[in-house]
Order: sequence, then structure tokens, then C-alpha cells
Amino acid sequence: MSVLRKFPFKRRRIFPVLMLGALAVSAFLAGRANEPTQQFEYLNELIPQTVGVFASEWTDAGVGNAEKLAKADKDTLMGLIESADFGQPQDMTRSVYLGQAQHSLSLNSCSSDAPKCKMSVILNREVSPTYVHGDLRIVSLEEKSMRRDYEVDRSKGAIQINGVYEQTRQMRFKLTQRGWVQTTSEILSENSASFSSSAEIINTKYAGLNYYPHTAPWDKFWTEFPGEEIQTDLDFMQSLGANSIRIFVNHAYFTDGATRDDGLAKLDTFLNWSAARKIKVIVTMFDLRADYRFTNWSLDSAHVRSVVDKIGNHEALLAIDLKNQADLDFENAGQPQVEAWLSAMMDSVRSENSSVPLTIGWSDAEHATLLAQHVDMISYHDYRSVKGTDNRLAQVKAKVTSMAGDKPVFLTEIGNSRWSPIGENSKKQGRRLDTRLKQLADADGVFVWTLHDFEHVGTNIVGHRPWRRAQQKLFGIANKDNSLLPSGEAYKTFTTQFLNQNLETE
Amino acid sequence: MKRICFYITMSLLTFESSALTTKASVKSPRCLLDNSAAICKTERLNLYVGPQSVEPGEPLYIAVETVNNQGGSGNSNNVVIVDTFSGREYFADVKHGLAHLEITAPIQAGRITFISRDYDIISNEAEVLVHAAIPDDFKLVLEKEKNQLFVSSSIITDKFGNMIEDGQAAQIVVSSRGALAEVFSTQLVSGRLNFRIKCSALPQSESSLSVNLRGVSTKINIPPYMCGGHSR
Repeated sequence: MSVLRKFPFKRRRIFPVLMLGALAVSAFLAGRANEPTQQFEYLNELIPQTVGVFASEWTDAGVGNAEKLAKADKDTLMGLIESADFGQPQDMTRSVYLGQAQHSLSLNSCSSDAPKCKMSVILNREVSPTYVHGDLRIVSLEEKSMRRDYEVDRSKGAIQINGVYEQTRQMRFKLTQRGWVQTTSEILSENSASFSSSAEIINTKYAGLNYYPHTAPWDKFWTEFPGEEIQTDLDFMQSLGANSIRIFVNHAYFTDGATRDDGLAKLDTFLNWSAARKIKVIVTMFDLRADYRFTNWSLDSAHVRSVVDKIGNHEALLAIDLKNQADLDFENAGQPQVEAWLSAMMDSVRSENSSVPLTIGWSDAEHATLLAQHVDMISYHDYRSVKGTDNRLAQVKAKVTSMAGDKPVFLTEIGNSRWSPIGENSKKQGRRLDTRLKQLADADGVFVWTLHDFEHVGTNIVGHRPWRRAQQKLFGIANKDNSLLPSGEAYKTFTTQFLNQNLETE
Repeated sequence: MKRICFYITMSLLTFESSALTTKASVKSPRCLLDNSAAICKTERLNLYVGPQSVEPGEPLYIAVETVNNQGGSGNSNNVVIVDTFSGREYFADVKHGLAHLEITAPIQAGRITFISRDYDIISNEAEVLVHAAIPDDFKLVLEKEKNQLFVSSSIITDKFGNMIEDGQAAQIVVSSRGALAEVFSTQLVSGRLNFRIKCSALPQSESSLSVNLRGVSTKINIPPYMCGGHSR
């Protein structure tokens, strides 16, 4: 009131302001009153809804009454099993996980804030009922899975693997008045497991290109999948002497329940077109995805296995590149977490098909030998100074030999942009590529980024800086009409000479 | 010196009790893997019988959980399930902490109680209600009472002789030459259907009365002379 007395001429203006303020405060308080008091109030909030599909497989296995279980019940049970991996808040776990099942959850001590903790990650889960009570109130499920035990030291950011097991568990569920609850989670058998490669040794030289259709790069590749353009490009790449290409599987399109089958069918078609031209393909997984959290692993594993299941034995498949430039995520996700994830994905693939050659496309020679003992071929990218390309390759090869024996070393991305602040420079691009390619005769595979320019580069690819996006658009070695730029000419010359080594070997 | 001895004794006692606590709180998810461990001994039996309400001769599903003191699967090899109604015993092997079997509900209606046991360990009781099946054919009797008709049935039972439970509704339809004259319902009392119809509610021509109880119908003709047309 004293304020109003001091400024009586503003009283009429202040009053509506005060009224509006009071209204806003009331609205805020009303909103707060409607907010849930707990983080999870309903089971559907607890169960992950990431992609609309479960990471696990359910088989009825011919057990009596199993077929009578409604899909909603099966989904709820699967949701309970998968949620148990994530260490949910105490209030929720108390109500749906009881007794021994609740205790099993607490063995994953990483759900607490303890600086050091132990946890198990369950992958490749196959679930089948072993008993369904006649009135559908009791269900026993048997789960076969890969269990990976980790010890996490948060203070040091270290993750140590303590063991990998193939295990069988039995879980029991009961239908109560508040819905399904899990009462037990017990191990029936566990065997230490190792998933070694049975892939054939790659002893042929590969000259290739990284490929997206220029009208549908990155995430548009699989949604638009311009078949005519792709086949024309494959013919063109073949005419340049390329015997291989590297493509990228869009994670979102291949994990969404609504598009996954379409994606897999298109991937198979792509490999068929490549096989018809005797072009081998490196399929790079987890494109545009940099999330390594433990909670995603089972879905990631299911994703990679679904791809391997579809194309693992395809004649056109050269290798699976598990992750493009995973080392760029070290800073955000932590190197131990990224490496643990990569190891888990490798085992996942090999548990499905051990003959598929695996690699990891590191962004830099510095990281090229990480996990070298485990991959079938080494691959890294070299966008550093042209000078020293051969030294870096020699160092990588020497280190690989000392660490992991004679494994092929691929440079799966090299290239230069024509962009410069004062305009395009095709000659410089050609010169630099030519100089770099000439230093790579000892590589086992060389893949250039990229066939054509891209009209549109999204901010999700290289960020918001306009010069970065402009740079990224102009890496092509050929014009849209397939006339060759100087870099294309250099590439064509290189492929002939490089692949002649194959003939000499034969 | 006394104080030092006291502290040493207390700390040893504390250590002992914390060790015991730790041991007691160890819960093993591995009892099915190595069920010889003492910790996996069956401490409790949980008995489930369902459905909780059945008709004679329908299947009854029995499950017995053997539970150790940690809430996990106990290491029993087999259990006995006793139908306390008939005294009959059923034996079931336990696999992975669960024994189950399917039996047929007795033909005699009533409450039956099951228990299960493994030597001296007795489970909870599980009760099942066996109720009468669909009614067997039944007869209706008409009697004249002044200006109304008294209709009564015999005691209605199912095919096993179980009296149909009281309170069940029967639908009564009175019709004449295909036209509905009266529709009403009544409930079963002491196993019988008893109801009255006023003569004024009946058509003057010959009519019929149909009674439907749980899908079983009985029909009876009402000759015009029963009410004699006098009531009108």
C-alpha cells in the first residue's frame, strides 16, 4: 500500500498488474498441485517405450495354457523382465518385484549412488513359459540370455568386465489385485562364454567409396531409398574401378517397430544390387546414434542381431562396421563405457553369426588399434594432414601386428572438401586426394568420402556452424551428371593400380 | 586394563553379531543351480488351486511352490496335496521349485479344501467352491388357488443330483397363440421355483407357461378351465 501511496498516479496501472500476477501465481500453484508426487505412478511409465518393440523374444514353446495368456499380459511380463535390468526407483520396485525377485534387483548395485558398484547386463534374451496356471494367475518363465558382469568405479570412470556367461534363469510371476508381480528370479544354469570369430581372413585389397544417394543422404537414405539412383550409382562406382562401398544403417529406421522390417528388406535389396555388380559392402551400424548407456544395450543388441540375422551370410557383405567414429564419443560417454559397449555388441553379433567379419571405424589413426585383438579387420579414418598419411598407416600396421597378429588394415574414410572461404577449389581437392592415395598402397582397403556432393547436410550431422555444413556438402569426387572432378580422376587411377595388387597376388 | 578388556570383548561380540547378520541376509539367486546348499532348504509351501469356483467334473489346476527362507525356490523333490473334502491324496514332483497337477473337480457340489505338505511343512489352505452344473430337466405343477394359479417346481438339481443354488433367477413367460401375455422373473428358493399368476393376467384362450432357468426351459399348458374365465 505504501508503494501505491508514493505513486498514486500509477495506482490504476498497478492494480491490473497485481491481478495478473496473482492469477499467474494461482495458475502455477494449480499446476503444481496436479503434478505427480512420484516419478512413476503407473506401470506403463516404468516400462520403456523406446521403440515400440521389446529387446527380448517370447516363444510359447507349446506349454499348456500359454496360448491363453493375453498379449497384454505377455507384454506386461516382458516389460517387468526388461525393466528389472534398469534398477528402478525403490518405491516402484517394492510394488512389482517381491521377495527374492526384489533381492535380485538389488544385486545390480549400480542403481544406487555408490562410487563402486557391480552390475549385470542381460542381452539376447529369449523367454518362454514353462508353466502357466490354468486360471492364468501364475506364470513361470524361462529366460535364456547372455549375461555380462561389470564392476564400475565411478570415481575413476572405470568399467571392468568380470565375466560373460550364457545363462538360464527362471522367473515366477503372480497376478495379484494390483496386477502382475514378479516373485522370483533364479539362475538355473550359467556357463562362462566367449564368442570368438570364425570369419575368413580378408586377404584381398578393396578400393571403395562411402555411399549415400546424393538426393537422400544420411537419415533419408532408408526412408526414401531411391532405387533407380542407387543402381545407377552402383554402375558408376563400378566403372570407377571400385570393388566395394561403405554404407550406413540408420538406427532410428531400423529399430522402430513400424519401419524395421522395411529397412531390413531394403538393406537386403541393396546388397542384392551390389552382389550383381560384384561389389562388396561394409555395413556401418548405429549411424547418428551416440548413446552407450547400459539401459540401451539389450535393444542395441537386438538391433544388431536383427541386421546380422538378415544379411550375415549375404555374398555381398564384406564386414559389419559396428560404429562409425565411436572415438568421437569418448569425451561425452567416456572411453570405458564406449569400449564396453563395443565389446558387448561384438559378442552379440558373434553369438548370432560368428562368421561375419567385424570392424570399428575409428575416426583417427591414434585410436585405430583399440580392441584390435577382437575385431577381424582394423579400420580408421584419416582426415589429418596429407603429409604423414603413410607414416600413420605404417605405425598402425606395426602396432596391429604386435598386438593382434596379421590383421588387415582399412582406411574407411579419407577425402577432402572442395570448399574454401573464397570458393570451391576442385584442383586442390584432386591434388590432395591424389597425394594421399599414393601413400596408401600398403593399406588393405581404402574408401573415399564420398561419391557425390550432398545438397542438404542437416545440423544433426556436423552441427550448426554454417561453414562446417558447407564443407561437408562438397566432398564429392564426381558431379551429379557423373562427370569426374579431378579427385574422381585421381581415384579412378588409384583403383586400377591398387587393385592390380590383387591380380599380382593371384 | 578392565576398560580395555571390556572394549575388546564388546568389539568381538559386535563383530560376531555383524557376521551373523551378514550371513543371514545373504540371499542366493542360485538355489536352482545348486539346491544342495542349506540355504535352499524348503521352509514354506504356497498352495494355489484354481479356478476358485468350478462346476462338477471341470478341471482344477493345482500348483505348489516350495519356498526357501529367502523367498526363492526350496529344494523339495515332491509334495503331497490333500483334498480334505474326500481325504484323497495326490503326489506331485517338484521341478525348479514348483509342483503342479491338474485334477477333476468332484461331482458333488460344496466347498472343498486342499492343503499340501512336504513332511512336516504344511501349506496354506486353498478353498474351492464346486457349484451345481446346469439344471437337469424339471417339472412344473399347477394348482388353482381362488382367483390365481400357484405354480411350483420339483426340487431342481443338476445331472449329478446337486441342488441348484438358491437365488438364481428364472424367467417366466406366459403366452397364448404365439403372443406374449406376461413376462416376469422369480428366484430359486430351497431348490424350487414357486410363484403365483393371477387369473386376470391370463388370456381367456388356452395359454402356455414357459420357465427358463440357466438356459434350461420347461413348458406347461394352462387349460382355460383352470381359471374358468370366471375371474373376469
